[in-house]
Amino acid sequence: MDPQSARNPAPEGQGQLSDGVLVEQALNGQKAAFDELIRRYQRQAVAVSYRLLGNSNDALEVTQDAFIKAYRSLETIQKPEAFGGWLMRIVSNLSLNYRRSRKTRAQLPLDDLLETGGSQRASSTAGSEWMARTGNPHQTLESVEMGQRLHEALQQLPEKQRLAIIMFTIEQMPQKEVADILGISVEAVKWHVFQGRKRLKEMLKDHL
Amino acid sequence: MLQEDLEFRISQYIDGTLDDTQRRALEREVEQDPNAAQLLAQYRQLDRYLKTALPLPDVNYDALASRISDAIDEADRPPVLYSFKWVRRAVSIAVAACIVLAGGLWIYFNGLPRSNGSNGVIVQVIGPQSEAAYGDPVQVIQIGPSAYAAAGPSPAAEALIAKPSRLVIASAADPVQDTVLPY
Repeated sequence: MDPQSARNPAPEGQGQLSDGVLVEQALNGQKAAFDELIRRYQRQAVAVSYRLLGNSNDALEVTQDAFIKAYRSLETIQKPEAFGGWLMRIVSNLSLNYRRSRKTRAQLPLDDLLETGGSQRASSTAGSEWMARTGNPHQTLESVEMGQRLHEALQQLPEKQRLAIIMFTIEQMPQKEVADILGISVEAVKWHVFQGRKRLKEMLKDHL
Repeated sequence: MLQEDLEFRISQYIDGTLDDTQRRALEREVEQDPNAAQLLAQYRQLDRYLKTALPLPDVNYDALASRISDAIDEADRPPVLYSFKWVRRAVSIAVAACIVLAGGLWIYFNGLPRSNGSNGVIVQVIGPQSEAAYGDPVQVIQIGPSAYAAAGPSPAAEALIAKPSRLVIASAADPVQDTVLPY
């Protein structure tokens, strides 16, 4: 048991508790409940941030910042059950701000969090990080190139279309949740997804 | 517009968000229209790329969760207030020393300021004094404005009037020829 868990024992059967209950427990000072929320949503947070930023170190840093921000403003959450969507809104906002500013920040020592083999690490030091640190060593050169093209095309989409495609199509989050995160209707999500797809199809027509 | 509508329905078909009636109608359309079939194939291919060609980095999520949790604890900790009393005292002494040094240098180079409590004479100048004329004027030169200007409303005239209006050249000695000097 880590020191933090020892200070704040996890509630029994925490894995089955709903997000709303965990939020309430965290608000009552049970840090372990928030740790469970971190475990539930960290992958999705990294995924959304990574797809928006295209850099794993930036994505990890933004993810960490997003959870700190969420913890500090937890008492302002209006629907504790919708913690995931609320967190993704923070993640997407921080990622977009990070992307706009592209400020040079002192890099946190996050490399130890990335599980890479020797050859993969070497390849990741040059150029775009896309596909450099993936869990699939059998990925073909063709699909690596396609990934790079797709990433570049995604970056050219308007913000709403890009977020709708990333969250709904790629991350397969529920349309309603994406609508809540983007502050638009479900029909508008469908429309943004379609418009984004249409543009991507035009940009990648030679590959389809 | 029809093409746009067809592509929108294909997009929703791929996402599985069309209702049964719409789905069956689109499937019939795709069977009969090669253009619709080609569009569906393109969108399906794009969807496959989106879901497979953008993999995530391998992250040690257990380590990440611990790191985030620690960062929250660190951020949540009340700030430590350090006392800088000795620094403040040292700065005060240094400032006072600078003021004393600057004052000393100023006095060294400029001397002590003197004051008699008023703007009185500091340097008395004794020089040649005019002598009172005691003979008849040799010549009177009018340097004021003309009678016309002095009488007029011109502001320039007032300025001229304010100046000495007359210069008297007087001599105590009888006029003599400079060729017949007494010495």
